[in-house]
Amino acid sequence: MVLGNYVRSFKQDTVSSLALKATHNGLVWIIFSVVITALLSSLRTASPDLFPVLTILINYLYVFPLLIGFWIMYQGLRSAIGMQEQKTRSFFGNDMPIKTLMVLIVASFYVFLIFTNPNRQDAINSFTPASYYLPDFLIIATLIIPVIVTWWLGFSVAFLLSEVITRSVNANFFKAQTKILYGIWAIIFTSIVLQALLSLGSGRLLSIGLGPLLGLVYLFVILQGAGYLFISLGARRLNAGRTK
Amino acid sequence: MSVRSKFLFLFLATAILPLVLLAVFIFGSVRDNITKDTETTIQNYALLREGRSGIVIDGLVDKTQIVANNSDIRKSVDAYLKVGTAEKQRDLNGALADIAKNFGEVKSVSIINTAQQIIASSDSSLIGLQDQVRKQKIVFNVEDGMLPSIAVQEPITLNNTTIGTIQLVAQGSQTASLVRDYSGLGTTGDNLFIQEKAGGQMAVSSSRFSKGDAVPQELRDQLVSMGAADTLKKRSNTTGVATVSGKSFVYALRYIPALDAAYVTKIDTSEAHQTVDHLRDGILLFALIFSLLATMIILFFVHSITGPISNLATVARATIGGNLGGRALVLSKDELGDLAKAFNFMLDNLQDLKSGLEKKVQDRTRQLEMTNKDLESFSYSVSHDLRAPLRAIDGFSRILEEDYSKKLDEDGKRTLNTIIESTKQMGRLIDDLLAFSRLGRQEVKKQEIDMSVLASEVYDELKRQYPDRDIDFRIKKLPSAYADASLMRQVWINYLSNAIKFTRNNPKAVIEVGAQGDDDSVTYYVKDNGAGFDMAYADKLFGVFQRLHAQKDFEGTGVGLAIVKRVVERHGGVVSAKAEVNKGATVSFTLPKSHNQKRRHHHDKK
Repeated sequence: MVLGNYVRSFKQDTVSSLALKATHNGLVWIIFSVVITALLSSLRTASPDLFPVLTILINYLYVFPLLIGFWIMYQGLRSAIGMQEQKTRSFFGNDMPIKTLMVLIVASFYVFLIFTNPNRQDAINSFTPASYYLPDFLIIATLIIPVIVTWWLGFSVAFLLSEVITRSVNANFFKAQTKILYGIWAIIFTSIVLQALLSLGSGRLLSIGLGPLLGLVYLFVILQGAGYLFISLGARRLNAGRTK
Repeated sequence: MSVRSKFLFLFLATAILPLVLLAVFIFGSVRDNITKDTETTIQNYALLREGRSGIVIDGLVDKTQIVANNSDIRKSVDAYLKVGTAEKQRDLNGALADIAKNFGEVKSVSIINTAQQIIASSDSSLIGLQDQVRKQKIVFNVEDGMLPSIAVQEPITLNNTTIGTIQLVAQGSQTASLVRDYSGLGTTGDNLFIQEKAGGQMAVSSSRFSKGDAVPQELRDQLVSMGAADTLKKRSNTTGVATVSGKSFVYALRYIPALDAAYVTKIDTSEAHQTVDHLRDGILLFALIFSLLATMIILFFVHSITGPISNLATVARATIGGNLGGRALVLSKDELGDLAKAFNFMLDNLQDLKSGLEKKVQDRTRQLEMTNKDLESFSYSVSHDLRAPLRAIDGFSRILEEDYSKKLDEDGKRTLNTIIESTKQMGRLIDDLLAFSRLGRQEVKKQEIDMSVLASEVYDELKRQYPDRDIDFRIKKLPSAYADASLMRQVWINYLSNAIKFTRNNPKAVIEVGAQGDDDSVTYYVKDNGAGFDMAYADKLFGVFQRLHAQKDFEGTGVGLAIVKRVVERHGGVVSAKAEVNKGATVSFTLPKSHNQKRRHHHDKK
C-alpha cells in the first residue's frame, strides 16, 4: 500500500516511475496469491474430502500469480529501460547466458526431485498424501514448464531492476530500490525452496527427520518474511524520501 | 558480458560445481558402502541362520538322547520287543505321545526296530512303515512350499545291547524359527531353504510370500537368476544383485553342509537402498538450498559492488554528453565510496574550470566584438572619409586635363594621366573596401534559391560587357541553396567575372559551372581554362588585397575573393580553389543543406 501510494504520487512517466509502477503491479499479484494460498491451505486442513482438489488449486496458485506478477514487472521494466535508451530491449535481455544457466541448474534439481517422488500422483497413506494429484503430462505442461518460465522471468526482473537502480541520481532512491530488489530476490528463492519441498513429497520430507524438516520450514518462513520485510522497508524509505 | 554475469559464472565454477562434485562423490562413496553393507548384512544373516540351525539340531539331538536314555522308555521298548502285545505297544505309543507333547514343537517320536521298521510312535499312522525311517542320524528335509523338517536318530541300548532306535522328527516352530524370522529384512526381505532332490530337481521351502503350499513363480525365477541350482551342486556360497521382471534385489546363498541344503536370503534393492535414496534426496535438497542461499549472498555482494560502479558510469556518460551537473552516488564508506567522492570532486573542479573558461570566452568575445566594431567603423569611416579628398584630386585633375592640357608638355600630360588612373584605382579600392566592410554588418536573409537560374543570369549580365569575347559557357543543373539571394549573387559575380577576366588571353575560353553534394552539404564550383595560378600561394588567394597576378596583366583590387569568403563563411560554408599556372583554375564554395533539403535528399535516395 505504501509503495502504491508512492507510485500514484508520480505526475509524469519517468524511468523510475515506470519501473516502480511495474514492480508495484507485479507485487500486488504475488502478495494477493500468498494470502489466498494461506486461506486455502487452512481450508484444506479442515476439509479432508476437498484435499485433492485444494491441493491442485494451491499448487497452481503457487505458480501462476507469480508468473503473471513477474511478467508484468518484466514488461514494465523493459519499457522503463527502453524509454531511457530510446530503443526497446530484446525480450531475452543482456544477461541471457547466466540467467538461463542458473534456471537450468535449479530446474534440473527440480525435475529430478519431482520424477523420483513416489507419491507425486497418488497418496501412499493418510499420512503421506500425493504432492500433485495430476498425471505426469499435466505436471509437465501445467506446472514444471510454467515454474521454469516463472523463475527465468524472476531472474530477468531482478537483473533489470538492478540496472534501473544504478541509473538513480538520488542515494535514498538507490538504497530504497535496492531493498525492494533484495525482496524480489527473496521471493524468487522462496519460490524455488517451496517448489523443491513440494517436489520432494511428504513421504521423503518426513524421512529426512523432524529436525532438518523444521529447519527447512523455518528457513522458508524466514526467507519469505525477510523478502516482504525488505519490500516494505524499501517502500517506506521511498515514501519517507518523498515527504522530506 | 557484464561484471555481474562474470561474478556469477565464477561463483558457479568455483563454488557450486565443486559442491556438486563433492556431493556426487560423497553420495557415490556412501552408496557403494551401503550396498556393500547390505550384502554383508545379508551374508551375516545367512551365517546366523546356519548357526541357529546348528543350535536347533543340537537341541533336537539332546532331546532325542534324553528320550533314548529314559529308563522307562528303554524298559517299555524291551518289554514290547519281548512280548509284542498290542497292549504293550499302546503303552509305548502313549509314552511317546506324552514325550512329543512335552517337547511341544516335535512332530513325531518313533521307535524303530533293528529291521528298520517303526514299531511304535507318537503318530500311530507311522507304525509299521519303513519309508519314514531316515537313513542317517540327522536328516534335514525340504519339500516344496512346506516348512523344512529335521529328523534325528539315537540308538536305544539296554545292558550294552542296542535294542532299537529312537527317531525324533521336528517340523513346526523349531524349523519355522529358521525361516520365518524376518527381522532386519524390511517388508520385501525373505528367507528360505532349497535342497537338491533326486533327478536334479530343487525343492523350495515355504516363503514369506507363499500362498498355501505353492511356491510363487516369481520366487522360482529369482532363484534361477541367482544361480541357486549351481550353488547347490557346487556346495558354494554366493552374494550379489540380480533383476527379475525389472525388479532388482540383493541376495545371499549359503550352503550348509550339516543340512545338505542352502539357505537363501534376499531383499528388494529399492528397500535395501532406501537409506541411499534418503541420503540422495537429503544431499540434493540441502545442496540446492545451500546453493540458493550462497547465490543470494553473491547477488547481494555483486549488486553492492556493481551498483555504485554502474551509477558512476551513468554519470560519466552524462558528463561526456556535456552535462556536468550530475554527481555519482556515494553509497558506502569503502573504496567505491572513495572513488565516487573523488569522481564528484573531479566534476566539481571541472565545472569550476568550465565556468571560468566560459566567463573568459565571454569576456574575450565581448572584447573581440568591440574591436571588430571599432575596426569596421574605422574602415568604413576611413573609406568614406578618403572619398572626399579623392574626389577633389579627381576633379582638379580633370579640370587640369581639360583646361591646361595644351600648356603641358608630354611628361606633364603622362604624369597627369597617371594621377587620374591612380585616382580611379583608389576609388575602386575604396568601393570594394566599403563593400567588404558592409558585409560584416549586413543581415543574412536566407531563402530557397535556384542556383542554376542565378548563375546563368549573372553570367549573361557579365557577358554583355564583353560582346567580342568567344566563351564556351557550360552550366550543369545546380541544386538549390538555402542562402541570402543578394549575397549569393555577389559570390557568383565575383567568381564568374574572375573566370571571364583570367581567360581573356585564351582565344577559346571555356567556363564550366557545376555542383556536387552529399547528405549534409553542396559544393558549387566554377572551372575555367584561364591563366590559373601557382598553388604555392593558394592560401593567400582569399585574403583581402591579395593578388596573384600583376596589375598590368590582370587589373583588380584583390578584395573580390575575400568578399566571397566572408559571404560563404557567414552562411556556415567554406571556400576552396585549385589551379595550375596557364592551365586554368577551379574555385568552389560549399554551403550546408537546410533540413528540408536533407529530407528531400533522403526521399530522393529512397
